[in-house]
Amino acid sequence: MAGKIIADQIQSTTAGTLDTKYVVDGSVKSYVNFNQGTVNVIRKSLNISSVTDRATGRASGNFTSSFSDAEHTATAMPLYPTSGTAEYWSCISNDSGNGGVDTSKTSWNQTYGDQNEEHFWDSNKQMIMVVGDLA
Amino acid sequence: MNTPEFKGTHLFERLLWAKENLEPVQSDYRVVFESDVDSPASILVADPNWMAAAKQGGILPPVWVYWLLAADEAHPDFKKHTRGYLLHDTQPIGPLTEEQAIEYLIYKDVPRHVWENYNKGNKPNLIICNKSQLPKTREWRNAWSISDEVVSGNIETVQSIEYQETEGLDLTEMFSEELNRSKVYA
Repeated sequence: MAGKIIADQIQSTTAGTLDTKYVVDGSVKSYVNFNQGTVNVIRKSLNISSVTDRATGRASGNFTSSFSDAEHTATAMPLYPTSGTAEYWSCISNDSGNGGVDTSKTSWNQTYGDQNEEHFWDSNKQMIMVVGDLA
Repeated sequence: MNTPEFKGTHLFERLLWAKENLEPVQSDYRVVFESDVDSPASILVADPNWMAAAKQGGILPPVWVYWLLAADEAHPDFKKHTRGYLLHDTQPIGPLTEEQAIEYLIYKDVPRHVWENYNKGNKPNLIICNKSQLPKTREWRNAWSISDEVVSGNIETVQSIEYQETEGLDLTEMFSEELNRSKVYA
């Protein structure tokens, strides 16, 4: 590719020097913002091939560029429902936040619900972000 | 816009290029599948950036690369990927139509046992439809299933994989000699 800069360090005029591996290793490798409400579309994303609506409040995503192992870190954040009155949770988990398959090298599972762990909710804005090492 | 020569470039870098240079494509297709009898139907939506990359060509690896990596992961001694280079060094596939791209996604992101046996029961457990054919509200979402009535009737409104195959991908492109030799996916 044209325009490639190869460097091991970046130096600031005021804040010191930083190894470029911090940038390469520490950057977000995948994110997605999607609507699991009635419209069911992906708004913005990086390194996602598809999102699967599995049931109320449950979705899965698939990476295009796989991670090297399942030990990457993912966070999930939904938009609070306008009609909501309870405390809500969102997590990277297969079911009810109680464990099961959560992330793999190629995908993640996410659930969203209220304080009763068996009450799942769809959110119009689900946001997932993943950091880690790519394969 | 022409795609740069990407063979040997890390796939993630290609995706960054695609995101910066290609207009996202929101597909109206939805893949509906039932992975087991106890779960409601799942609805797969293609990512707009991914679809743009698929239609552009020269960016995505052949789908069999993902199968080889999945086979590695399924090995009981698997710790981490050591063949990630397959994603980056394999010759990227050419441009796909939107329909071909959906078919590719099925092979990549739908559980293998679903698409391999999609039409072996008394009704298909996987169909491709337009988003307008999905229920208009999320009510009873956990009871959604592929309708017997829709599946048995109108092929013009609900396209099945069988129908797609007539104009779909050349499957020989998707199975490499390496894959056939190794017999590692199950």
